Amino acid sequence: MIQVSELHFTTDDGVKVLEDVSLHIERGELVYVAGEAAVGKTLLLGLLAAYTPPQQGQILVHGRNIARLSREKALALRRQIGFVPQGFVPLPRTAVENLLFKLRTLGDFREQAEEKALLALETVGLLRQQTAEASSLSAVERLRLGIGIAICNDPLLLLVDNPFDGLAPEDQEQICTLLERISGRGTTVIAAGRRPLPPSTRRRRVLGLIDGKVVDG
Amino acid sequence: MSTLLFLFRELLGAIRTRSAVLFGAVILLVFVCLASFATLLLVGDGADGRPMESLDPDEIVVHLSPRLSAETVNTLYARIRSREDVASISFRFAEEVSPGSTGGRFFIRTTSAAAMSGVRDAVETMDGVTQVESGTGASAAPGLTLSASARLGLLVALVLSVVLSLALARAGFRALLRTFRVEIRVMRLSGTPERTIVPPVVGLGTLMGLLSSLLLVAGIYLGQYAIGDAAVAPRFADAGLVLGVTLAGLALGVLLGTLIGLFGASVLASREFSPLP
Repeated sequence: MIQVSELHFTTDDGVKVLEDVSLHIERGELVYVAGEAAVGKTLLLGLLAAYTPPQQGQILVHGRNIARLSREKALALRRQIGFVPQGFVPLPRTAVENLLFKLRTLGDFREQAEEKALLALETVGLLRQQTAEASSLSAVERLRLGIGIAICNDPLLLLVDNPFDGLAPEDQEQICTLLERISGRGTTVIAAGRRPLPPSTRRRRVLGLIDGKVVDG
Repeated sequence: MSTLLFLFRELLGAIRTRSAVLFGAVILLVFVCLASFATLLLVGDGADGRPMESLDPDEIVVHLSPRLSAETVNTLYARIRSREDVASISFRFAEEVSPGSTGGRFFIRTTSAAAMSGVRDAVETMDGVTQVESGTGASAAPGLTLSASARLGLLVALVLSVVLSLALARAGFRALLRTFRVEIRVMRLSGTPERTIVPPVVGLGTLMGLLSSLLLVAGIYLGQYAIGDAAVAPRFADAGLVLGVTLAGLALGVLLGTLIGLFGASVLASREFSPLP
């Protein structure tokens, strides 16, 4: 469960990006955050990922108040959050090695990491391309790979930043279906994107980020 | 394989031509620093004692027993002085010539180089004479020593090589970490602690220092093998001193390398390695 209350954020040059943002997201829910470019979608995801420390307000992610977490506990929380950044760039390796790199650096042994990596590749539909160089994958396959890397250690929360940019409409629909499948397994998913969002997102909850405030729809 | 070793191997795999050239230069510069350090310790400054082969062909140095009375010394002095083939003679206490020594020394100059052996034979038979040294006439090999300016030059080389190696190391680490930046972003985004990310970078610096140290060890022992002659470089013949300098060089190399690694790891604080804008 994610609970955000009275969240404010102002940049160093005094621009108020987020103003009194409050939202509640249930565990396993898939939520889209829609907004124009540079309205603070990435910032909101960074705050939820415990990457950017909040200035004012409260963020509870699975019962943990991000503002009060020590550095170590914030890192531990981040390990339970999968994040696909905007314009995701894979590592210059094969698809499976991309996942193995993350799992190995998080402390998994090779056999254990391989098992998790193959499972994640299967989830994102890239099992056949496991030995393909990431650079040879199509845009949508690269995004799938990014999602695979994000979910390979079975996170509680998946954050995806601008996944639909530069994708064909049918590929956008594929990604929506994939995100639905992941949330169906109990992972909370928040995807932020520019309007207009793909049509299938209407089946799910969509929040708008306008002038620093979060509104339904 | 532990996470650190895995990451270290991945980091080594990210080395490209530019970073390899810069790291090679760093290894050489650290070697220059260590070699300067070792040279300062292993090559004497001339205070180790000049070899007696450097006496002129008409020179004789007579060592006198410390038990001789002043009267006996005067008698010997007079006997030698009275010889026709002796041009000059002077007396000095051994302490003046070589601190810690006892007795006295006669410094004799014969009238010619040809007369030297006759005087030497005569002096050797005198009571109270413990040793006689004379010039051979052969040009003696100059001992391996460092002048004050050479020592100063080595000190400057030592400091400059450290400063230059730090500057090149930073450029090398920047080039390497730029190649590795996607990996760094992935690690930071997925919550990998800095204590996992930083040590392989520092370890790479330590490895460079170790390689420089090993070059130094090879250099010292090759130098010892090449010089060989204790008279030329007496400190090189002192196995204990050579071992001590070698171990100190190894420790200094590893320490310098680790400092270089820490300096290189400071590049990680740059915003370009931040996973989010």
